[in-house]
Amino acid sequence: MDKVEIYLPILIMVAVGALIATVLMGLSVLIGKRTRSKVKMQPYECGVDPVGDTKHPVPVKYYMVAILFIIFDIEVVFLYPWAVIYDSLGMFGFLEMLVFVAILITGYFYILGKGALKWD
Amino acid sequence: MDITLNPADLTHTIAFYTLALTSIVAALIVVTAKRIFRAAVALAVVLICGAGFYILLNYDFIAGVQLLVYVGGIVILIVFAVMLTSSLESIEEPPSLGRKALGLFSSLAFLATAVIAFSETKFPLSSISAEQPKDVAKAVGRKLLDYGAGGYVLPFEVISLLLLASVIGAIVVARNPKRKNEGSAT
Repeated sequence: MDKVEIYLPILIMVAVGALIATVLMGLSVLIGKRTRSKVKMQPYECGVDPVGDTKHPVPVKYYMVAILFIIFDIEVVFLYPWAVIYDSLGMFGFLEMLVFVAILITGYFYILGKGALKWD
Repeated sequence: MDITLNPADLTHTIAFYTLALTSIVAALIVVTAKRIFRAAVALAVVLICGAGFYILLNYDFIAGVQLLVYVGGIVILIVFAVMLTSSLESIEEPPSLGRKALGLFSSLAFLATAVIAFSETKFPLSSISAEQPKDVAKAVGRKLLDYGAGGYVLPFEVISLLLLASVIGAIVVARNPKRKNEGSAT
């Protein structure tokens, strides 16, 4: 069965990754020395005492980037089946995709115009 | 019952039940996890199992899309949404009785709808698997850009409008109103 041949390497990689993580963490639990002094348990940031609380909400601009990423991600998903049969489509397929991309490019320029990709 | 399975069917069955069990357990974790970030990670596992089901059905392209859009996109979006609204490590408070009742009602309603839909729908399995294309991505592409009868070229172009609408919608909803005020004040 060729599906097994294709996906067995992926499964092996996943298994090896999981194994390495489990073994390394397990070993450190089993043979590591545990010292629980007050200084040791203190949180640290590169040797500097932490400033403020680490649990604060993240600015909304990260969400904007994520949501725009997904939209253009979906665009790429539609490009893929078009690209694999591009040879047999001829001019019609080219024009269809041109219209598709042109509409989305409008959205891209709208984003740029609104300054949604500006970081500050 | 016929118990002589050939090796291919056996691997298929083992893979199916492994995926089914994993997705059920992960789905239960999504619902029961106290820490919302753990629920998001478990949701990623459920969606990866979904991709595995597509592979079992020979729809490799759809599996890739599932990984790309849902695991790589939607889960990240959910994690960001969690990070925006609350801290990642926040533990959810137990819901009030009213919300519990509402949740019970809506989940039962969904269960009833799903059960009715599944029992009423006839799934013509044999005919689908017989005409299943060898290369799914090519078949999808051909159907997508087919302007004849049964083609999907108009929906394909409408999708770009839908994506454009979601781009604009995202900007309008998530735009920082404070910045606009600052701009008008100065």
